[in-house]
Amino acid sequence: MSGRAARWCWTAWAVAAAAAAALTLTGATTPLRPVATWLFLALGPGWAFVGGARPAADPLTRVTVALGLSIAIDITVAQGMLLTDSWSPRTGLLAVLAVCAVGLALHARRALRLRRTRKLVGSLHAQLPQLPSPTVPAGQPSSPGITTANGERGTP
Amino acid sequence: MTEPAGTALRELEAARPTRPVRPPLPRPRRRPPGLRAAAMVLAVNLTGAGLYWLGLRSVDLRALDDSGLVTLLPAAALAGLALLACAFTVTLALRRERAGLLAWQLLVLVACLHAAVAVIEQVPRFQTAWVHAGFTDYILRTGATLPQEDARFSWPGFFAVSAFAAQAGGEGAVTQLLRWTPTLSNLAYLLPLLVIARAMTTHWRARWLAAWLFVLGNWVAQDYYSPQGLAFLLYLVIVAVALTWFRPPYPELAPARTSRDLLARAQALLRRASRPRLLRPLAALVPGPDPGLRRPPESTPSDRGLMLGVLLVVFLAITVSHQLTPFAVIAAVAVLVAADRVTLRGLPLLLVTLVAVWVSWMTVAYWSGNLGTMLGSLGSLATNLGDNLGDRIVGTRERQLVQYGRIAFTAAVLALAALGAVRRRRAGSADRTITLLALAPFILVALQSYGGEALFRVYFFALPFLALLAALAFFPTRAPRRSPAALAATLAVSLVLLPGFVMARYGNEVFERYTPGEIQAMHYVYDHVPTGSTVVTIAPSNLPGPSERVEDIRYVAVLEEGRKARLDLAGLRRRLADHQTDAGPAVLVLTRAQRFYVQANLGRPASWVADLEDQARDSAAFRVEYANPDAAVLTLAATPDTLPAAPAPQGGPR
Repeated sequence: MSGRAARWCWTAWAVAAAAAAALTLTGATTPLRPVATWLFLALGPGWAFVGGARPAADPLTRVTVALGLSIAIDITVAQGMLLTDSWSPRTGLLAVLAVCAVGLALHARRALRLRRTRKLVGSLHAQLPQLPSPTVPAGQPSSPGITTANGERGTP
Repeated sequence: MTEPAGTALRELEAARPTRPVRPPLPRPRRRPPGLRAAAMVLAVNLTGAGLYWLGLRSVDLRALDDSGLVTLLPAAALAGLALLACAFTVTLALRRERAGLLAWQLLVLVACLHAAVAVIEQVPRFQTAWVHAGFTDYILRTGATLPQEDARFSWPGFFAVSAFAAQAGGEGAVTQLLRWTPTLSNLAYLLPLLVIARAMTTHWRARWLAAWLFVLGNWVAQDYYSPQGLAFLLYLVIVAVALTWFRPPYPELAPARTSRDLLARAQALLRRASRPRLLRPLAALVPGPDPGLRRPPESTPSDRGLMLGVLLVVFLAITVSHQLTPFAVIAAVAVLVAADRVTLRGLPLLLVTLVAVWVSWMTVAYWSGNLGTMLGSLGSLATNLGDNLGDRIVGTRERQLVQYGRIAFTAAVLALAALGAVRRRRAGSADRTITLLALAPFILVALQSYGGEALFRVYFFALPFLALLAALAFFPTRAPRRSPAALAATLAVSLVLLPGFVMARYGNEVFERYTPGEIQAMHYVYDHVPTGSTVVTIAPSNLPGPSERVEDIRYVAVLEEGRKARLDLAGLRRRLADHQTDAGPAVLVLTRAQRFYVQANLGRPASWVADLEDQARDSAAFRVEYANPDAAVLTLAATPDTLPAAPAPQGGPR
């Protein structure tokens, strides 16, 4: 999935999550409510875990896993409410959002690690000036796909 | 010598000015090839869908009889279905894969086969779906379950999640769920199916054809609002995740550690080099990279850790939702491990442990209470649909025809799958994973007591893999030629299976659909009968419910299935009086669906129930509490020799 598509997906995710939370917690009665809530419950929680997963997962696989995992998380939350005698759709939705937060935290940790590794690579690069650094041949406009020293794009 | 050459050159120079005709040519060619074909396919597809919809809308559902919906379909609808098949076959014949176009056609197919029927029938169909709505309603109201009442409450995950979703979605959401679940389920099943197909085949034609055949083959009606329907999706997701992330390394890429690896690599090289047929038997001597299998994607240990977590959470959700599906998952995973197609060797044992813990601990409420009736209760699940599909063929001649038709349909899918397995092997693939996955569910027959329905559950669990094998019967090799024969066969099979699906799926439509009148009668019952009442019907499993108040109304059928229907007004009155207890009155509910159910299954004309209803209405022994053309609610008139009857209806129409 391209970076732009992924960004769009995450934006849609955030909007659906916010809409589902707002509409359900306030008890609004609009036809938008089932659409937003069900869309979020069906794909949101799983997407929070696998939406940014790096494996060579194409969009189809990623959506499939997100769907399965979301439903599984919803079932687990609902079943948990039954077992603990604390049935309430609001509690359930908050619990699902909490699970999403765990998924997002995993993502954040991974992104942080990635950035630290890149910085390390960048500093190593700076310490070894004798190595030929990837430079753009003179006279040619720099193409966006070329790796820069601090590893912003592409792979070293 | 140079002179003629010179003149030729000059002639060429002279010819140049006439060339400007050519430059415009390359530009249209730069458009993706086959765009015009794609547009034509789309047009044919939309025409087909439109024709089908117009034809279906003109169907008078009141004219339904025991032979089901297919005999009522007008020629326009059948022509529409044929156009859908043509458009799909042409898309398969295109030079390159047009994923969007293929996905669109699958969407249209599901919409035609499921959503269109849901729209023309004003009320959600299928009795068990309404019963499940009742369970959901109970959890929604009380936040608790009733494991003593029904075995299915010991696996409440599905009902809990739909109560949760319904409440989060607002008022009236359950009926909407009921109506759209078959459509949504079938679409959802296609996602993991395509992922599995991608892992197990190398060619796009086989993949998309498998999805198409799956939709066509899925007539067994387990995709309705039910734990089975949802658990099936999760089952497919587990297989898809296992095949995507946990396959052993592709021999060609793995570091050669053993002599076997080395041999395999040598064989791969041989294979690539051995276009000449002479060397091929040599290459087949050692297992190598399978031409029928796709290379697994690369992944890191942390990716696989995450995916293992996904597997376990999904399996946990299946375990708490459905009795049977966990065993289907275990069978599938065990087969994958045994065939060396999945590297997680301990997984089957882990899954067995999880199920054992749930069954022994969480369902103990049910076990301790009703161990004796447990088997009977499991058996009653069989009345969902398939009971009549099993080994015995019952009912009128038309109904028997439908049942034979279903068996023939199923046999055709199985035969295609067998052919596919053979052709795949002939094409050089030594992989038998799909065949094993298709066979694995048969273990379930021994495990559970679903009666005559067992075989159809097995068919359901096997269907994704049967469809995949069936597709490989048409496009078996790595890069199949667009052989006209294969495409013609695809079209022919689709043309047979499309009406076959409508025949098999909607064969019982006369008593599986409901009318608004029947739903209103049920609402009258929910709104008016006191707690502890018994609702009496003539024949079993044909009320749209109970979708409310599952805990305080009992349901009893006077005639058991398979018994000769012998009942008169006096007998009916006696049976009603028997069920009238101190706890509450007995209420007779007669519906349109019952008339046709009796006709189809119990060897009595539909008018028999209608006559009985007329007699009861005229009789002084009964009192009509509520009536509309499709349903009536009656109680025993209060006489000295009977117990106090139900309270007078408050404002209900008479």
